[in-house]
Amino acid sequence: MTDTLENTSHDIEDPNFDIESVGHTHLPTNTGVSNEKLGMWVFLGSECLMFGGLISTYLLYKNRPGAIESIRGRDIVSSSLRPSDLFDIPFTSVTSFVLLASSLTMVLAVNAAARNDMQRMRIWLGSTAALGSLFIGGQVYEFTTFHREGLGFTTNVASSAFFTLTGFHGVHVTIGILMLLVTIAMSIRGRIPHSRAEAVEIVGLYWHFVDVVWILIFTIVYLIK
Amino acid sequence: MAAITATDAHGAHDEHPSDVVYWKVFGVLLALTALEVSTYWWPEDWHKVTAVLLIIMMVIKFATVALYFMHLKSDAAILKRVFIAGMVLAVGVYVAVLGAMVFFKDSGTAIQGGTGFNDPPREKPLPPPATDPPPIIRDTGHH
Repeated sequence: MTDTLENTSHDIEDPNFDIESVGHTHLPTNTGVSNEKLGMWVFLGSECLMFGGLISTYLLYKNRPGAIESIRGRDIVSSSLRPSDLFDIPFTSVTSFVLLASSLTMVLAVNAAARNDMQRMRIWLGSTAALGSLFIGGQVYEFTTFHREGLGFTTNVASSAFFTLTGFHGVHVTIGILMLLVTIAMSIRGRIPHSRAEAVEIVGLYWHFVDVVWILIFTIVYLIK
Repeated sequence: MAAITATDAHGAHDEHPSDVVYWKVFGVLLALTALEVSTYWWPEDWHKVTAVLLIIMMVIKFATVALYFMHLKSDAAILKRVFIAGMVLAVGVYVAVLGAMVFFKDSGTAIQGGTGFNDPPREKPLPPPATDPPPIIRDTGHH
């Protein structure tokens, strides 16, 4: 703590210290990083556990498309069709490239915000949201195709595990798109000045995490046979 | 708070890489992804080698995004610790669970032709049909 305070220009324990004199600058914290940023990292750490559970469940069930009791009644719904039988790897590869590219545009937006180039930041944020929407469109197309082929959420446990995992990821991407759009709107209204550029970085952390999770899903679920 | 060191505090004043560095990192990620996708058309006989290579490439991509795009390389050490703690906990717990499902005999897996936990419960075998008792031949004493 002492080391942290020594690196700051203000001593908050000084009785003559005027808090108003520093405006909205972040106060020093015990950890040396802002609470918002640390909070996002703790949240992402906990998200690892959730996605780990979903990936493990899929790995357990992917080759055992046994019967399950239908949620609609007591009739047994069963199918030997597995999600991996319907994978369209070239198509999913394109959507993976799109999500990867969105990570680049996101990090360029963060850099633009750090340089106080707000116009360029909004352009990069908009590009990120557009690429994310393209990815979600691809996922909707994939789910629709699977459903047409006879693989629904309750067809068997393998399909339930697959749709839960990829669906949860899709929900995370959608929430990320909403966060990006809100950030753009706030920036246009002048509510993200240079002193609050870290807000863009925090949104970026969430977005990159979503990309990192897809790196795992794409390899473990789609590519490894 | 004793765990917070001067290195942590210093790390908070991070210098983010330039745009050029990000474009280069993206190029590496793109090349790795292309290599990953190409494994889909590799011969089936190579599936073990392919799986190992895919996992290695996945780890490299994961680390690259976390270190450069998420700034873990230059950011405060405490952030690295928080994220790695979550990762290690997650991987440890789920490797243990997956291992338990594979190694324990009565885990419900269908390894030896048994029913899996996703299969309907096997009906209990019916008891053998009751055989008729042998007819009782009474000695009536009439010969």
